[in-house]
Amino acid sequence: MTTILQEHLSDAEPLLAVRDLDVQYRIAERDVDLVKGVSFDVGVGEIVCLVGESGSGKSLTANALLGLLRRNKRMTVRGRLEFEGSDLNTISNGSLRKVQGREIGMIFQNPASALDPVIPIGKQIAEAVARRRTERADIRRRVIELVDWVGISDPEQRVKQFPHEISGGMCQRAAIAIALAGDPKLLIADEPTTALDVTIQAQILALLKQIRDDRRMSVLLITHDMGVAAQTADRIIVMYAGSIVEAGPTKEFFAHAGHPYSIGLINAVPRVDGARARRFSAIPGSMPEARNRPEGCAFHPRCSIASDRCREETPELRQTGTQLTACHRADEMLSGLVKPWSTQAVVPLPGGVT
Amino acid sequence: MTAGAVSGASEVGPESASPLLEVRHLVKHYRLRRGRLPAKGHPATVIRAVDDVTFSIDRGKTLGLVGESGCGKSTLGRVLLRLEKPNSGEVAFDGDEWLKKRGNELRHSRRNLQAIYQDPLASLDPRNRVAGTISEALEAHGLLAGRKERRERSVEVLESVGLTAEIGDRYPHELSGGQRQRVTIARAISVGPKCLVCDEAVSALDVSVQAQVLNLLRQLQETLGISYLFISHGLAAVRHLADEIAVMYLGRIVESAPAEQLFSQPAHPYTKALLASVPVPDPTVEQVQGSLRGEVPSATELPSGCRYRLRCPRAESICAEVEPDLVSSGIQHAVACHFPDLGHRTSVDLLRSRSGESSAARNGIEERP
Amino acid sequence: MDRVPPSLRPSAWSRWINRPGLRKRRFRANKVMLTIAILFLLLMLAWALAPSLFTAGNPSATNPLASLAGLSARFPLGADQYGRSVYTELVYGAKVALEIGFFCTILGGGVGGAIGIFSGYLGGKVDMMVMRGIDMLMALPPLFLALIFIAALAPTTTNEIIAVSVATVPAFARVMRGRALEVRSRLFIDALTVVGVRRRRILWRHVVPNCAPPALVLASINVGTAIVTAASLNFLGLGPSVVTSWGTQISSGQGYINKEWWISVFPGILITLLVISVNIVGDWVRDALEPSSQ
Repeated sequence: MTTILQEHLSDAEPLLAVRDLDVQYRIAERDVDLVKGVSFDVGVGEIVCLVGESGSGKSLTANALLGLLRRNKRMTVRGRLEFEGSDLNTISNGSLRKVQGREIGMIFQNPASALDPVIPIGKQIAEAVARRRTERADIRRRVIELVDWVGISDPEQRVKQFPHEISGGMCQRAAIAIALAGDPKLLIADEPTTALDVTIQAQILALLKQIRDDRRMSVLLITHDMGVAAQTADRIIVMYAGSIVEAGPTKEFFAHAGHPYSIGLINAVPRVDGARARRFSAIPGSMPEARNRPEGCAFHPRCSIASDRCREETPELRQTGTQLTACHRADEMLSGLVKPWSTQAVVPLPGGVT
Repeated sequence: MTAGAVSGASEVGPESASPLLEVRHLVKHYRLRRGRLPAKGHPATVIRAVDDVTFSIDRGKTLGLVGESGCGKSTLGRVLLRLEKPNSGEVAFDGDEWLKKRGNELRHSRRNLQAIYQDPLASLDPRNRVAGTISEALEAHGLLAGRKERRERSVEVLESVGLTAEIGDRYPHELSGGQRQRVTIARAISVGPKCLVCDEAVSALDVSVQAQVLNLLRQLQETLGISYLFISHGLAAVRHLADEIAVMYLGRIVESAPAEQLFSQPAHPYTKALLASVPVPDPTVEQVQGSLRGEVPSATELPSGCRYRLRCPRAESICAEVEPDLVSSGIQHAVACHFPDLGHRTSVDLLRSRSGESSAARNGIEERP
Repeated sequence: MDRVPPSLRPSAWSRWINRPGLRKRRFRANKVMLTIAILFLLLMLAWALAPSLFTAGNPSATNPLASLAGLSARFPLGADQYGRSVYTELVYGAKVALEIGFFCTILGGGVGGAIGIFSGYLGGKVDMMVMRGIDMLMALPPLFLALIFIAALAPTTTNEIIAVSVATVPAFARVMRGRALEVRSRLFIDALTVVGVRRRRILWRHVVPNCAPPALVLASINVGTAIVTAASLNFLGLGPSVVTSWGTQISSGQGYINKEWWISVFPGILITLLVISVNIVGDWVRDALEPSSQ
């Protein structure tokens, strides 16, 4: 399944092209599909958001990109990860190391634990810079440049401090500085603001947008927060139970999402704006574990418009309007014949249904 | 002006006339020993986690307590649950002096004040099955003498939170996040509490599950009449569940108001900044980040005067000298600020120092051309 | 199950050992080793209880004519310098070995663990004082500690057990105190307090059971350590002289290790096998008791 929405991208080559990514995990002598058939592109200078709840496979996808799953003997990663002419999935460990930190940088959810606790942050940034430059003065200059760029306040003071001495927001900025030290073309950010306060989150997201604008850097942002995706992403990819269920440009996605899960997810987010609701629109049930995925469409047990076909046949990602949607009834929804969640007055199903 | 206590409108009959929970001037400090003996010029480092907090909750109502990390809301919750000892202050729960209770009297009174937490897996004993956990709660308060009765009641309670009876036979690690949180809710309500402290109870749940649990909490409040103290950093969830909201910053309440008013007419600059920072799942709404600078200062070195002044775009010299009191600024609306944004009732000072700013108080999300 | 013919139904043993709640994955991998370990321990137990069933020889009968005899039909594991069959000595020594290994661990571990858990659970000044006391004990090497005790008491087996138990106490106290502190700080303990559960019940029904896993690990290692410590005491001549033990066998064979290696090596192998078996079974017990991967 490789039909990818191309028209909103320029005819330029995508920076990263993921094709048919599969991640399997061996447990009790069985191979379980954690991620299946994931294909998407990341263009130059755009922010792509991979959105999903826990268990959707979004973090695994991000980790697979940089070869972080290679060490795990139980995991098998299949598919093509085309980046700058090479396939990240098949290149040697040595070549991969050259890519990590130089062409592709990564930041993680918990900034304090992603940094070495016994080394001052200035030194850690310098270490990252030193991978590419050797002149001391040059390194120093670059460190100051980076520190200034990511907005670390009081730089002379801060660079001497240890991760536990500074706030979470500062740690994340330091981590971003380290990730950017090699001047990468792509930054992968795995839930970078989930552990941070909302005011700091806003600052970090603004920083990511600034990086995109100043350096034409691409960002693959993984998040579960629809608000973050709406405010930051150029394009959104929604994952559910290990596969992509919808992909498309941000504005169009929120204006008329094509997949019932996406619609349900958008509705379920409590809002600070708009009218105050008496009830939250909840999606009944919960996401199945990798081992217990149902036949056909993984979402059908929770879907209000599931048909017999949904129960038997796994839908493919197809173009529907401006979005790519993996839903058998996407066309019907687009033409208004069918509306999911229209009877939301119902009480959600017991959480016992998994 | 006296510091205003936040109390909800008591609309219903006589039994809701007095608030269920009244907190007065609660203080909790932590002393940090950093190897330096207290001496002249080096006072012992003190973290003022909760610094003179006053509020009340009416029966059957929800008070949302919001703030970012380090604001003291979790500490406040722990002090209320008698897991920590406050330095000073009074708490009246259902008419009794809550902080003075000890021993068995305290243990029995705990029945009325229960709690659910952010990490449901961590709040359950991993070695006990669900039914056992609930039975234990029942047995601790001498409810339902027989094991069979307790078992039956456990099943009833599980069903009332939307779980099936067979969940009772499972261990916590065998359940999903949403199911686990429902189990902790079941345990809490099984003893029939009057008030439930929800300490970031939905923050760790997936969005779709969060909505389910919030609906459940609302439903339980409607049927059982429980009051909630809903502690959260998630403003949006609080908005829809709470009747009133109090915003905390560095140990103090800086603003409190009925929920809808807080969102439509936030008066304190921090509240406005907080609202502006919450990303809205609608890309057509442009959120401009600009009014909030820097980070939360270290809790051990509070700025003089108003704690918020270092990050505040409106700070004037008086803000460094005098700490503003929590002062009533409308119907049940209280703010601790020298230059609060009071909508059409903008203060003279504000008009003098800010020319050109729109006086119509809007939602924190402003659209700049 | 009723309609499945009897020959195809899993046996009672199979059903029991595969009941839900066991960590089946890990278990299956070690099933063979576990069975061997259990069989070995049962054999040792049999040796201890009925040694005469396994060997015709007399452990104390010396036979100077057969001194230092090599492996043969008559002496399957060789003979020591007194002409005694190494095999016979081993069989009769099993009783002492198991006694020391298990009793010392149970006694020392029980006392040490109790001290540790109480200290950790109560915290504060009590914890501080108790730990300083344990620190003082730990300043002395375990062997030394045991030595002091047995030198003060008469050299009987019982006293030897007491002495080695004392040496076991500090390690258990330390480990269990650390674990109790960690468990006590867990959210569910606070949650139970808020629910209104009695403090005593929290301690016995929640803290103690959650402290068990590291105790089991430490205990299974300690069985071997205790035997070796007792052997060292015997080597120094401080243990009961009449009774044969694997430890004394090792020490008495030291001088002959170059040529008549069997005198020391076989007891050594047996101690090793015992420690490994206890370890395997201990791990399995620990896994079986844990409903999750804790």
